[in-house]
Amino acid sequence: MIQRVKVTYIFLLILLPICIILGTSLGAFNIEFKQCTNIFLDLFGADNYSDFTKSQSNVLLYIRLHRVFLSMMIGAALAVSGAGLQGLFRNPLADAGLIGISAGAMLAASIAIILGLQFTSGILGYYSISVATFIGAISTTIVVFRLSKSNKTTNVATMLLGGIAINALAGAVTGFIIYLSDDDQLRDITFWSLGSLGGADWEKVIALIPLIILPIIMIAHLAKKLDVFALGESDAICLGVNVNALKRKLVVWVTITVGACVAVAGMIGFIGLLIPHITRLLVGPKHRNLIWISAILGALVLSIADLLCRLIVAPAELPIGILTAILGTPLFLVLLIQQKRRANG
Amino acid sequence: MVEVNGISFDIGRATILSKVNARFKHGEVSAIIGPNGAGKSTLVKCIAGTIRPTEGCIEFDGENINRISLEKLAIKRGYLNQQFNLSVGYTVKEVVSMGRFPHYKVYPSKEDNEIVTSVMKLVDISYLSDRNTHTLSGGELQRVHFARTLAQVWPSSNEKGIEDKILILDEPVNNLDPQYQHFILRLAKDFAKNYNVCVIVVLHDLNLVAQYSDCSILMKGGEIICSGKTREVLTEELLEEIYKVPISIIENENHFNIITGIKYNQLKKELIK
Repeated sequence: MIQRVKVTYIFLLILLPICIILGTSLGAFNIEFKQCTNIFLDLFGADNYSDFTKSQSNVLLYIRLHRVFLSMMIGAALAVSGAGLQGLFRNPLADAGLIGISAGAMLAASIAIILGLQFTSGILGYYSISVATFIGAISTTIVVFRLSKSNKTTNVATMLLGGIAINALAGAVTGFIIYLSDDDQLRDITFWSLGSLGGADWEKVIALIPLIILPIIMIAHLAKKLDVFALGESDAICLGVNVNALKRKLVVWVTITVGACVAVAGMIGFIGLLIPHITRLLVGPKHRNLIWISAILGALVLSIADLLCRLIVAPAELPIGILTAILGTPLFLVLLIQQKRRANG
Repeated sequence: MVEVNGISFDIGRATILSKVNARFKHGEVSAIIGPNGAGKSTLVKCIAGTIRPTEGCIEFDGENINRISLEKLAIKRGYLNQQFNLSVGYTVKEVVSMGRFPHYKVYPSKEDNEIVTSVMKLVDISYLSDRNTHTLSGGELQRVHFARTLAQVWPSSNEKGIEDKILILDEPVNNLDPQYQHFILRLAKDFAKNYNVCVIVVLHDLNLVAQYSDCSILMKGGEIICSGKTREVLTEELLEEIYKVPISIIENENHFNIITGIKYNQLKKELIK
C-alpha cells in the first residue's frame, strides 16, 4: 500500500505541469506546446527561446495562466473540503452542500444580483457579488453549526438535519428572489449557479491564495484525528481526541475555503463528492494521504474540466458546473455500483 | 485503584444508575454482571469517561477523571465498546495502529509499531493484517478491536506517572467461539497480573465470570446488589433470585464453575438413570 501511495503521488505530480501546459496552450487562440514551454522558459530568464509572438505570450500570461491556477486552487480546495467533511460526517456521500454553504451562497448571490450590486461603484465595486456570496456562505454555516450545538457538544446528526432545513429555507427565499427578478437578472443568477472560471484575473488568484492554501494545510493537520474519528465518537474520545474542537475546526476551515471558492467561481458541483471517493479507491482511507492526494487530483480534474469547457464550444464557453455534473454523475454511479458489487462479493 | 463515588445517571426522567459506589483494584480482573438493563454498560461508560454522570465522581488513583486531560486519559485507560461502526474500511493493521494514536504526534515510533505487531500476534489476528475490516466476520472484528484497545494501554517507555493502566471491556466475548472466549479472557487476566493493570469487564456468561474474575459486582435496576470476591458473591440462591433460572455451582479448590438452566442434583440424578 505504501508503494502504491508513492506511485500515485509521483504520477499525479508529473501530470500537474502537463496540465498547466495543456491548459495554457490549448484554446481559441493558437499557441503550440513548444512555444508554450518556451514562453515559460523565457519567463524564468532563459535565453534563446523566443520563437513566439508578443501576443501569444500575452494571451498565455494574462488570459490563460491565472485561469489554470484558479481552476487548480479551487479544485484542490473543493476536494479537500469534501474529504474533510466526509470524515466528519463519517459518510462518504457528504459534501459542502450539506452544511448549507452552497445554499447560503446561492441566496446571497441572487440578492446581490437582483440589487444590481455589480453595477454599483462602491468600495467593493466589481467584487461585490463575490463578497456577498462569501458572507452568505459563512452565515448559513454558522446558523447550521449553532443549531447543532447543545450542552457544549455538537451533534453531527443534528448538523446534517439542520443543514437540510436551512438548505430548504434558503432555496425557498432564492426562489422568491428569482420570482422578483427580470430576464437579465434571471440569466445572471442561472449562469452564476452553473459556475464559471471566466472571471479570473490575477487579483482574484492572489486574494484566493491564503484562503485556499491555509485551510488545506489546517485540514491536513486534522488528518490523524479524522482517522480515529472514523471509529465513532466515543472511541475517538477514548483515544484522546477532543471531538468538539475537531468538529469546530473542520467546519471553520471548510467554510472559509469553500465560501471563497464559491464567491469566485460560483457553484461547482461533484468535485467535493467525487474526488475524495476516487482517491480512497486509489490509496485507501487514511486521511493524511486522502487529503493531499485529493488536493492534487482535484486540481488536475478541475483544470482539465475547465479546459474542456473552453474547447467544446470555442470561442464561447460552457459553464463548468454543467461539465463536472455531466462527467461526474456517470463516474459516480459506476463507483457506487462497483462498491455495491464488492460489498456483496 | 478505580473509585466510583456515588454516581447517578439519568436520561430524562429515567434513572439508569442511582448512587453507585464501587472499587476496582490494579492487578485484578473485576467482572460486572447483572440482567439486561441493569446499568452495566452505563457504569463502564462513566468509568471510561465517554459520558458524564449526573451526580458523583470517578477517581483514578485518587485523581478525579474530570481533571485529567483527554490525552493523559487516553494513555491510562483503554475502553472496548460494544458497538463497532467504522465508517470506511480501514485495514486490520490500520485499526490496531489507531490504538497507539495517543502515544505519538505525526508518525508512530518504532516502539509503537512493535507493540502493534506483537499485540496482533498475541490476539491471533496477524494473518488478517491487510484485510479490510468491512470483510471480517463478527468474531474477527471483535478480536481486532480488542487488539486495538490492548495496544492502546500496552506499557511503553516515556509514560512517567501513568504506569498503572486501566482496561475496560464491555462484553469482550461477544461473537466469539468458545475457544476465543477463553483465549481472550485468559489474555486479559494475564495482562492484569503481569502489568498490574486494573481490568474491568462486563460479562453475561456466569461460567466465564467464575473462571476468570477475581472480584465481581452484581447489578440490578441501576444499583449494586452485591460485590466482593467472585467466589463469595456468586451463590446459587442470589443468582437464581436475580436471573430467575435454575443455577448450579460446582466448586472445589481448583475449580469454580457455574451451569445455568438446570440444577446440579437433578442433572446428577438423570445421569445416573
